[in-house]
Amino acid sequence: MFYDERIEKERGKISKNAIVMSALISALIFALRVAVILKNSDNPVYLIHLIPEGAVILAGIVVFALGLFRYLRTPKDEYITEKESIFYGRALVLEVKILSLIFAASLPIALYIGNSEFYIQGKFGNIFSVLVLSVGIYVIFSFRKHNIYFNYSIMDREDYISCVFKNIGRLALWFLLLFGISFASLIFWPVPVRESAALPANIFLILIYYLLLFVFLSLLYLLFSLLEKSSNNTNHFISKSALITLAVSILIYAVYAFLTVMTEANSESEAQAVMLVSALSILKVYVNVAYIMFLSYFGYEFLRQRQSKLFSLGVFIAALSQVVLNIGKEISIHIRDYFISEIMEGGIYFVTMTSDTKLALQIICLLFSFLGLSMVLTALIRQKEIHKLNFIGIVCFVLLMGVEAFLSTQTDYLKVLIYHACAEIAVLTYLFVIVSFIGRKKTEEDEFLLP
Amino acid sequence: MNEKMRKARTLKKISQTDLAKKIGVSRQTINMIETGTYNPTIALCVKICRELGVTLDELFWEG
Repeated sequence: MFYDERIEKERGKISKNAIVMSALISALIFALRVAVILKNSDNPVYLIHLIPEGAVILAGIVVFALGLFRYLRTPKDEYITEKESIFYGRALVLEVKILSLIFAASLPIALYIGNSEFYIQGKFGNIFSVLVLSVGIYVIFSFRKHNIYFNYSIMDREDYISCVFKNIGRLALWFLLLFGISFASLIFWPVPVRESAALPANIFLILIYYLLLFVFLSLLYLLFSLLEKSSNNTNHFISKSALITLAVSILIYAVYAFLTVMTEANSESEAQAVMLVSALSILKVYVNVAYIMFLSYFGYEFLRQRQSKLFSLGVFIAALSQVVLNIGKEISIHIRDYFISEIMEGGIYFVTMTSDTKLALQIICLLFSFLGLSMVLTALIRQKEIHKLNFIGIVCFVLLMGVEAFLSTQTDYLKVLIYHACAEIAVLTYLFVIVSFIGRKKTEEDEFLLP
Repeated sequence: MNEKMRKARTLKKISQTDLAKKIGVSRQTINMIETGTYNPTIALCVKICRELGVTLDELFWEG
């Protein structure tokens, strides 16, 4: 039986921090949303929109209180510390499962009360992306820092890949259960149905949402598993899997961009377009997560093997700027909503992220990305990994980001989408070319083996 | 650096992966014990000693 005391101990600490972090972030978003809802409506029924955030906060408080009650009063010896670690490790897994069930049950409720078209964009997708991007990245990075593989229990098994696919199969069954709960909740929820919330349309929306979420999570898990296995087998941190991660990200982004543009161009109504584009945005979240995951992994390994603090710091700044941008977007949406918001027919508010807020956020992100990537390239040039001419790439990158920032002030949404997609794909491709160049060079020289 | 453990393991001709599999831990944990970056509990020490056919004193006592 697999039981690794070191991993359990570290996993417990990481899980405890993850629970606290998710509760704090949710509390912040909860407070902002309460302020927006109460400002716009006297009807407290709209507060039902806050079920997901409320559940995360409540679960955090319950787990933390239980942990304190069980382990704080006793003197901390080796045995108690081990038990505490196991408790928090299991608590996080249980919390994620229970919360996903609550989210599944609450999703249709919110479709009935409030504006169904803007619900997913303004809420469900955002809380998901914010938690994945902040807590998820923290968990991945902490695991790596403590030499723990995500798939540690199956890492040395010969049937590793089939175990990974079995886990994806289990995830599929879980999503089927979630869809069943959402479906049942949609059918049996006892509140009057709004006229605009047609049942088949809502079922279709939820089905698409779960399908995309499943594709997103299983792809991320598969790529991460390959990355880990490759690193475990060869000790080459720039492995083929790392390149596959980037290549798949580019492909998914291209598919996302194509579908978004087609939806925008061909949808019969604006509401329908917004609904579909919101569901598709999960794919974009995937690309962000894969990109940040890759950068963190790459930076950490480079620090460990090549001892280049400049490179690693640059990578972390570039990755962090993306995380901050995504979380900042979510928080700024609610702050803006508090001051400028419109009450929609049958809905409560409209997500009003105006161009100046977006522009300010993108400029901040641009500066930090520029700083981070400049440090990366300086480190690579100093270590004679790449040629000085690659600085042209970063100048192009800055120009692209600048064009993107400018585009966000424009009103022609379709054009903005197309240019934005081209810019993102160009940046990812540039990263891919640099990484594959370094990987090829080092594989030939065989210098990247772990000591 | 726990050279005694590395020597005992190589004498037995067992790889880190095989030892890890036999006692139900990860390869990284075995590596970290050998490089001195992780201090195992007595329960894990006993398991390692049993697999390598040595006593606790022989493997972990630094006196």
